[in-house]
Amino acid sequence: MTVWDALTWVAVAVLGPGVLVVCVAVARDLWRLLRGAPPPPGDLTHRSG
Amino acid sequence: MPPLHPVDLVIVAVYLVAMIAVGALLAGRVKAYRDFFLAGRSLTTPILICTLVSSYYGLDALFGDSGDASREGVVVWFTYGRPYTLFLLAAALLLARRLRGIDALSLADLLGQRYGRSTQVAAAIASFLYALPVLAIMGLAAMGEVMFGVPLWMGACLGSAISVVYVAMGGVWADVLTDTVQFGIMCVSLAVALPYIMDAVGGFEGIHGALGDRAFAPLGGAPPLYTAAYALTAVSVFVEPLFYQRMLAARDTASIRNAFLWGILLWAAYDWATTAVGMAGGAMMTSGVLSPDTPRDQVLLRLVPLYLPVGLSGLFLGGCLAAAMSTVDSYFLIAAGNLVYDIYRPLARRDLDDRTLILYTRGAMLLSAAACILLSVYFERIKEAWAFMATILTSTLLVPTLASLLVPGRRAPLAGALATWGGLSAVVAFYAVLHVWGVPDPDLESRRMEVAGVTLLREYALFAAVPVSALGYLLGLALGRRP
Repeated sequence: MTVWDALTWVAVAVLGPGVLVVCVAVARDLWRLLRGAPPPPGDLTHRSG
Repeated sequence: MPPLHPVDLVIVAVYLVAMIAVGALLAGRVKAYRDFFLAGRSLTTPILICTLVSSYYGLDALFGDSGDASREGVVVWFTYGRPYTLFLLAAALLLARRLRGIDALSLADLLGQRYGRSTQVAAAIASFLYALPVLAIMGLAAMGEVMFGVPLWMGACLGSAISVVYVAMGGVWADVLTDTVQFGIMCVSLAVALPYIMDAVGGFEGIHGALGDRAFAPLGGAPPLYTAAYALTAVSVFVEPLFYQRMLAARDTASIRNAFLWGILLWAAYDWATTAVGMAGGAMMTSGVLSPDTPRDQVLLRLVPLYLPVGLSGLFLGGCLAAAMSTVDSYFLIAAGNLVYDIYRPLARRDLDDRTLILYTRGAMLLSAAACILLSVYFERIKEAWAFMATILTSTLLVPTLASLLVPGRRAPLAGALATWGGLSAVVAFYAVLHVWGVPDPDLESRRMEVAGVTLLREYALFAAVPVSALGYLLGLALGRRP
């Protein structure tokens, strides 16, 4: 396997399974936020939520 | 090119209807302008990853990078792409915590708070020009022509109209929600397509046989200064309006930093996938599978339906649409915000209530769409348009932004004004001179002129304009007074 092949399989792994994991985490956070649950405290000021 | 199977068309239609439905569902939720523009400052790390990656990477990355890779090879990933990794890393580590305690809606608003109204307006003009999603619209028009046979102008209008509709209804909430779907589709579809295409071309051995050693040279064969000019456009990440808009909408600074670090990995993977597929397309043009006359920006689009089975072709096409629309919607929102909040509001009247601001911003999205379609007529190549827009943005905003966030001490309003207006004017003048007195350079697909034995290319504007901006800043600092 060349370095180019290795880069290609890493890209497939990141863009396939890796991205699906991120999407599940986003769905969880968006579900919580859009149902009106207040976000945990953050350090950026002047929140309107 | 073979016509699309009905199953593929249904997949694309379902995707488009779903995007509009999201906007309609969220329309009633948005009441305050900060909610419309910054999602109540509640975005978490996973949401930021999705929205940053999908919005920042549109069809310019998908079609532009693959088109360049079909001709130039791995230099696209190494020399054009990886400087972005370095600058993004620096942005993640340096900028995020500097935004702590800043109450701004946009980068122009932030600069307005630091330097005053004149700087805010200049910054907003540069940000508006940059934010116009010309590249994505050019890509959408090409998609419409290649996949559905519709004229370029109609593809551009339809694509931008659908994106404007759902974001105008639901604001940034609709934007991030659709970005999530679009992020998943655009990445997974590319991950699925990549092995099919590499198998069809005979892997990298097949590509090497067709394109030779030159395609595998990380530094490529273009003049070093030309290559450096493209690599230096990466410095634009420090003043990328999308990043500031999303960072200011984040829940906290740790979420921003973590989102950038994960995003860097995803962007690099996406870059490599488009580079590899583009090189496969270049090999197929050499071997005659694709016509040698295929426009470079359309290589990927013409290649994929030849090798992907029914259903996956539709998924990939949806992925292309997702890549374009996630960019178009986010940048139309930013461009409209620049027009209304950063230019109209300070210049005309400051007492606009939230309802009026939202109404005007929705209208400004339509104006932005019209301006965008007009600009897309001027540039013939995606990379060419990108260089112009990144140069405008960087030359105008880099010096005052970095000085504002990273350098402690006094900030004279005159310094901000001279830096922004000086940088903006220098780029416009440079492009105007090359447009009037320069001659076409068919090899580099640019314009060039000789001055005292030195060859000037249009892409070199950055080298002249950033120093002008820096000089303006220093001059303003010397002459100006503290606010």
